[in-house]
Amino acid sequence: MSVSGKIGEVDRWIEQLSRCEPLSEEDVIQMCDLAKEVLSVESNVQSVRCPVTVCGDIHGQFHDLMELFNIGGPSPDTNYLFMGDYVDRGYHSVETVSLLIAFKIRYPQRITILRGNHESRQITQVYGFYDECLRKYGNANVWQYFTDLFDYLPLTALIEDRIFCLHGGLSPSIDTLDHVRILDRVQEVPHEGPICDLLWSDPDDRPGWGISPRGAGYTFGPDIAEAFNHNNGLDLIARAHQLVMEGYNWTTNHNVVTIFSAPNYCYRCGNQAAIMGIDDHINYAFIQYDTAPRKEELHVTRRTPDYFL
Amino acid sequence: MKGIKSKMLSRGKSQDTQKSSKKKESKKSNSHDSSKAPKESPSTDPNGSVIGAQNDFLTVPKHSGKKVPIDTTPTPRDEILLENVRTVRKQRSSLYHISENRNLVRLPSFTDVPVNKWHSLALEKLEQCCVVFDFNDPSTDLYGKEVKREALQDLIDLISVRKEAIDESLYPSIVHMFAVNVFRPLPPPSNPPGEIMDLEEDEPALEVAWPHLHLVYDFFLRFFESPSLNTSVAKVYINQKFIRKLLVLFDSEDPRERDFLKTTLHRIYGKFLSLRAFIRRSINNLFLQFVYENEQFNGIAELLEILGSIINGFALPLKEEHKIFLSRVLIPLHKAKSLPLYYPQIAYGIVQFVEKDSSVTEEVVLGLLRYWPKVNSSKEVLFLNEIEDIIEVMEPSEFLKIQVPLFHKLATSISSQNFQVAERALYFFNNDYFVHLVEENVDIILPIIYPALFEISKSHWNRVIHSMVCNVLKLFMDINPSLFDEVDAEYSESRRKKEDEEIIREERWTILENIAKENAMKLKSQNPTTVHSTTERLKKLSLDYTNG
Repeated sequence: MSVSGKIGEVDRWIEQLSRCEPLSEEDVIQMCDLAKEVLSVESNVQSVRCPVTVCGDIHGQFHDLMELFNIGGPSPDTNYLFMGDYVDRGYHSVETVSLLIAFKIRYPQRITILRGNHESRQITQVYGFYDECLRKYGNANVWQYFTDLFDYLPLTALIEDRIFCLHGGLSPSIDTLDHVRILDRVQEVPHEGPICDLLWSDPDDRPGWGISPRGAGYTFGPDIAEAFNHNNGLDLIARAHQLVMEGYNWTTNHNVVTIFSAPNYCYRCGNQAAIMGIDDHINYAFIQYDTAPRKEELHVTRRTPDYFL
Repeated sequence: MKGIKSKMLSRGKSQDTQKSSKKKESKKSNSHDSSKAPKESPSTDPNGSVIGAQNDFLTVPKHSGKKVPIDTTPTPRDEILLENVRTVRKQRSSLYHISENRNLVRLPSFTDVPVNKWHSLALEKLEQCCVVFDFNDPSTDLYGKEVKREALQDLIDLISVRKEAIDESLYPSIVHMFAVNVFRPLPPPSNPPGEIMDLEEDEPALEVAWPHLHLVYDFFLRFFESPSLNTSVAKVYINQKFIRKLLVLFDSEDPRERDFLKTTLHRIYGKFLSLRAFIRRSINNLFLQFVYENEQFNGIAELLEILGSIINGFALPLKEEHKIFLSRVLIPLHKAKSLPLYYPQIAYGIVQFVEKDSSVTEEVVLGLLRYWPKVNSSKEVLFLNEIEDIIEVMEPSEFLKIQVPLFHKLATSISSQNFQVAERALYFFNNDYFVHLVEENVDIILPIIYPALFEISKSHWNRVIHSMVCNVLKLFMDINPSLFDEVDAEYSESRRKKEDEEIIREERWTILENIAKENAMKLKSQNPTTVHSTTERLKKLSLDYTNG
């Protein structure tokens, strides 16, 4: 099966998903097979060219993803780099991740999707994506196709050799980008080791490596970030993974920026979201936005007792 | 309906029920647990072995006598972390009717007046306490608020030290003062309707008037606890209308208020015998409304806790009313989405029932199987918890009645792709009593559960589940080796049959396809008679199929 013969089909999926309607189980199988082909040729450190817009966690907040495309420009007119965590917590993980995968198949050069710590079998069973698949498809097959596909998502991206993008953060077992390139990434996110750290670590103001309160990955201080950027000729590390109230947040002496793209996270945190636009000359600027008004909120009413009908 | 275990309802936050069931939960949810109970310290299980994050061994039941190392790396937590997140503590007030005249004059304290003046002073102070202040604006009436606070404190001191000073003539004023301060419309829920409270991530809206309210509750509670309380006089004021109003308040989002309400209602239940049936009926009605109408009520856990101790005191044989309560209310309560919010309390009540009267076992278990969650994994884990609790108090004779449906359900849980569900179901085999029951009935149980175990042992994405299943298979092998071989052979045979059938089915489809192609060709060449004969062939084929 090749992508070129399926463009009409993929366009149909994109159109259906843009209405927030999930694909059929058969379509999901087909889509995941196509996506595997596209993703398996990408590098662990996927090269990305400017201009591009960098985005953080989405977490199934489909309508906020639509708002993101309103603010940043529609795909494929704008190039996008998503840094993981498409599923769990929000109400529309299935539609959100399906749409991003469909875009990836249709416009592989225009959109890059990295792996987040939630793109994993174990985490999706605890935080909601698994149950959502059961609810929307009646069985766990779709969850299985998606999580099998997640194993192929690239771990990091490198914009014009200057900005290093990934979901979590650095790892004590990784000093250079080449160390990332040689990892065998096609597997469930392990509980420890470099792949785990890239998806789970957080920057911290305290210097050196620290134990992460999350129980996976590490915290890394400004000295670590500074050294990593210097050794690899980088300007900046852009990452996601943490809720920040303004949508973006500088840490570790401007060596690392956190970008979070789920406004009013979990429909209750009251935070702004942001995306980072990078132009042809690698100048970057942050755009903040708020949550899109939710249509279904109007429909959610107290169930009327049957005897009033 | 005699004894009420009043120690169950101590005023403190940690109730015996909750404690004990929490312990059980932590015992069961071993280290490979969800992130829901991440900071649980290692706790001791009844067998004395320490279970917790450090435990690298899954104790295999006595038969094999070996300890099998298991990878128990815990699931990492992905909490909503961050220092710079400002959590807004919601403070929304109920609607109070603020008194017009809020100018209070400080009265002398009881110690400063002769004993014969206490009665009239108490009356005056009770009257002062009927003045209701506006706490939404913290800067207003500061003096008046302080005077009322002191008056309440004085009354509390009086009622706890000098019980005789409170005589029956004060009852109407006391109840009136409580009613004026406490009975009020509650604010609308802080979450949009239909969305349940998330214990970890939602802050409940706290009552702004709490500085006065908690003293009012405290005073009223001491009033009930006083041994000199004359219930035959008090019941004129503590009547059905009063109970109804009190029950409405259980919907308060403030857990501190619900805690006081729980103790208050429990005291009333203990002292006013004539109100007991009414209280039970009213609580039932609240539950029914919750289950079948709006699933929106904050005080379910507290009410269940009261019922837990009422059930505890049931006399045997169980009255029909209580059996009806079990089947129409307690079991259906498992349906609601927000079950996790009151799970320890309902599980306690159910286990009490089964322990009291084993004849309800079958109904309870079949009821749980009927309401078994289909698309909610964390709720399914709770159901499995509860089933194991029930099994622990189950008579072997009752086990016989439910083992077939139960093990069909366990087989599906073990086969679940969700590692938490599968793990929880497999943990049953660490329970000695459960294993004992299985041993006794292995000839019935093994054939039911074997296919699930076999399939999972061949492939599960989670290594821990995989090795747990292998241990369980080993356990069955040890219990009865010849039976094991027999069941294994039977299953392989049925699988082979299935495969053969599949091949035959596919062959038939190919034949059909060919016929259809032929048919289409003939249609093109416009020869209707041969088309007819093809339809005959189709019919014949399907006849063959059904025969063979």
